[in-house]
Amino acid sequence: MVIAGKHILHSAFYLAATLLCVAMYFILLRAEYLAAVQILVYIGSIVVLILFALMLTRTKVGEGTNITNNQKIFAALISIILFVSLALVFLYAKIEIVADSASTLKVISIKEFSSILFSKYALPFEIASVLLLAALVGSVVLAMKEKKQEEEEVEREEILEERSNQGSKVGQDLQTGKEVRGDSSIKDNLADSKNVKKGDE
Amino acid sequence: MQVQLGFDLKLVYFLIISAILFAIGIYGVLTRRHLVHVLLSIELILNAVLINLIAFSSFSTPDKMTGQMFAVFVIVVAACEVGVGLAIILSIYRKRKSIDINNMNILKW
Repeated sequence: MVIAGKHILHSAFYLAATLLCVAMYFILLRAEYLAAVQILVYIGSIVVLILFALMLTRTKVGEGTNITNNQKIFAALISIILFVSLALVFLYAKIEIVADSASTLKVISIKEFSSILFSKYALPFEIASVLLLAALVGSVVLAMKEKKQEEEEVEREEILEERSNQGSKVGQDLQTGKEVRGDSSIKDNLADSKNVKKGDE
Repeated sequence: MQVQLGFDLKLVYFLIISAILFAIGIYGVLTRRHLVHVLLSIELILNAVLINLIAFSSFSTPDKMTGQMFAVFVIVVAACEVGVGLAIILSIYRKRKSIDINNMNILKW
């Protein structure tokens, strides 16, 4: 469903449903904490993030006639081969298992889990937090950079429009006024400076 | 707490489920043209890996919980990856007004 959905928004919601099912599998495997984390992190944040990105980037690709490229047969072949080989490995490998079925699994308490996480895996935990911080800063930088340029372009267009509307002199004055005032709070001062210039004239 | 099920849920069933998810995700990554769709498929693949990790962890070494710890870190890295990926997609969209993956040939020589 996630892959075959015609519209990308539908497939995002199908992804949420699939992740919920995966969380149910976690509960079956007696990993209740991870099931909660799965629901909170994946469904709560990742799917919502993807929906935001979809709404910010509206294009015709998702709704067009051809949403797949021309590698369909090739990709199907590869995935089928992969699945068959994985299944063969899983069926015939000798895996040492303690419990025979999922109903006899050992219940893992969250107390044990946290004590292991903060004693044996403390360093990876800290590294993960640093990684999260780096990803946060990196994504903000990536998303902000273009925005500034766009704002500058919009301001330039506004100035050009005013120049064409009110004659070249006022426009030049506006631009010099902008340069004197500097980059910060241009938008706020733009209207004020316009009024002042009109009064001068 | 013992749960009585009508049938035995063996380890192999979980592994087969994760293999199916993995194959579907690979197919999606290889065929879709929408960039966000590719990200969705990558999420599917990561979830297949998570199911595998947790299944092995709770079936073979339930005391050490290595697989569960690893699953936590995999979730963290997946969240980072989605955030950065969506930021990159946004900036590409602003620059080129398109998120068709066939148009992404800036780095092509």
